[in-house]
Amino acid sequence: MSLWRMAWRYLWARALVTVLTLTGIALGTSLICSVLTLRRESEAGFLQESGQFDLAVGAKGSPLQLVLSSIYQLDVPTGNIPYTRYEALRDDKRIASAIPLGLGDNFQGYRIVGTEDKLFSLTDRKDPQKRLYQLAGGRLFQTDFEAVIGAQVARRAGLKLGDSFVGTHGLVVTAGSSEHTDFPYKVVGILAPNGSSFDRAIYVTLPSVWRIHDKETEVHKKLAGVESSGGPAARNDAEVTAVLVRLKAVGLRLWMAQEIQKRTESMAAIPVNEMLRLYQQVLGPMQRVLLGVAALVVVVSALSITATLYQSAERRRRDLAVMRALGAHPREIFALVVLEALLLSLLGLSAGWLIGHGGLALAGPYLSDSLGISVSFWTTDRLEWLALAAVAGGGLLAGLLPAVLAYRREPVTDLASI
Amino acid sequence: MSALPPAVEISNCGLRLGIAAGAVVTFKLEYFQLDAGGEVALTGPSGCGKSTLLNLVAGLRRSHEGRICVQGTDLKPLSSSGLDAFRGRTMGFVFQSFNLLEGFSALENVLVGMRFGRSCPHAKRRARAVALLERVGLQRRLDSLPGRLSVGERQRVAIARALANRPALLLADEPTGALDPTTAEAVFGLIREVCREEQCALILVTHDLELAAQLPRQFDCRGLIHHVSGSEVAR
Repeated sequence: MSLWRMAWRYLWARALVTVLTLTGIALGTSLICSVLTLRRESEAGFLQESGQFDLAVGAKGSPLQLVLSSIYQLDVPTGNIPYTRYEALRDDKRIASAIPLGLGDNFQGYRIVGTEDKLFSLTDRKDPQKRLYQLAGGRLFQTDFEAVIGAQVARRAGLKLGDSFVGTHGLVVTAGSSEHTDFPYKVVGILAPNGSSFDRAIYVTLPSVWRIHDKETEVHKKLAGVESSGGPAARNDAEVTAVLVRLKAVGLRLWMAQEIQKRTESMAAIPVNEMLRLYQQVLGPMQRVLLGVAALVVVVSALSITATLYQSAERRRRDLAVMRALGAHPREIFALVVLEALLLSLLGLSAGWLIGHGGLALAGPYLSDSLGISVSFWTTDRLEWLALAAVAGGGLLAGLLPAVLAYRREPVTDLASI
Repeated sequence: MSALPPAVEISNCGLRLGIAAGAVVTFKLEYFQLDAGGEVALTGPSGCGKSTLLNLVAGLRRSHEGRICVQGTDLKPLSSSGLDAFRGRTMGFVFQSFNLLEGFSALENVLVGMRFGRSCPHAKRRARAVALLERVGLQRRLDSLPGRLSVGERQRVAIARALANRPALLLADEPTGALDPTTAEAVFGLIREVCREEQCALILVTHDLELAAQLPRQFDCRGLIHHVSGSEVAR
């Protein structure tokens, strides 16, 4: 009979205490696993997305707000900038590609983004062989009021190729918002899910957005008695909400951002910098607090292992003395108690890992929908392995004190009372 | 053919046990011998030194002076781990309160004894344990936990465990003390039978003079414990 089996038998013999101790370790571990996984995946997701563009150019205001609204479909835009500003950027020799974005309407809360089809020809910066946005079905828009919808929009709104829908004024669903029933969109393409905010947006041509809002403007002008100024294409006052820019040389980011800031009425934000700042200032401290709580739970669990094993060793003084009488070496007695601690730790760790990652997997659709994060929930990275090793080490340490006490105990003392 | 060494041979053994009522308590035994396969009952009132003698023979206590040999091996030079290993493969124990491991079945209790005794090859342990439990009449109770066994059955498991490593010496400390007379008689008979079958010497500690009288030899332990006053120690 191996020492492992004997250790297991002793744990099983006091099942309730074992389960309670395991629960403590498992809860602490699951908290650590979920916090670390969320941190890793959200950071990777956010930073990877922000890293796809060197600059976000828009109206002056908060740079973070500009990045969140133009790349992540979160927050409200800082305003609009003239279409000519986009044209200037497009024609700048230092710029590899400039993608205009026009926001203003939503469908069931999903933003309708006016843009150009070159957005879909962008390749992934990490894997240049791969398109950043791929079609799961249909085709790209070719004329106004044709729409390419994100994967989540298709799934949640139940839209299929060929379906029609109408936009609602504004970027979020609000009671009483007017629907643009005169301008229905037709779904011509559905994007493959890529775990980014693009899953949660609807892409149409820029003129589609302009035409809807020109109509609104004309209605307002007629009501006010002002003459119409003609179609958007014939005008010089067309606007875009933001322009996403890829530079030919990444090293130009700061220089270009400063130039745009100084020489124009618009603002340029560096998405990676803004997201890192958001992480360091807001999410970082929150994660540290959560990790602190998790570490505390694990420490308490380790202490409970010590208490459990100490009490158990005390209750088993007679058993341990009998084992010594049967020929067990003190080292074997020591190993037996340590193995119990190790088994408790490993079982708690395994259960905690399963609970932590399983919980995230269950929450996956929600996280994906609300944050646009596509998480590899079952992946354990180096940091998490280190944390798990620390928990296992803590459990092992917790078993050392009772093990040493059992090791040093003279069996004759306990056999005398037999 | 050379003769087997004595199962136990003790000469000029001395041990300081502590201080009681201002006097130093010591254990002294000039000579004791038990032949291989022999049987002896240690008798005497409580506190006379029966258990101390048993613990010295088992190596659970170390004598301060003198020599204790078990099966020809002097215990004194053995290291702590060497003594543990020697005890495991040479001696078996049966206690008054059985001392079975509570979370382990009857079979596992015997296997634990064999695991620490290490005298039986791993592959043959289970067969040997089952055979011994069958020998003591527990063939249907192999998987029963001690809590589900009667006191007589528990002591039978303890006997099987004590003999599992084919010891040369069985140390039985009041093995029938917790049993009713009928069960005690049966268990006592069983111990002797199995010891004979296994060619194992037996040292039996008992208060029961009738039981002791059934063995070929009795050793009265009165006089082994001495109380030496401070002035005597100084002299």
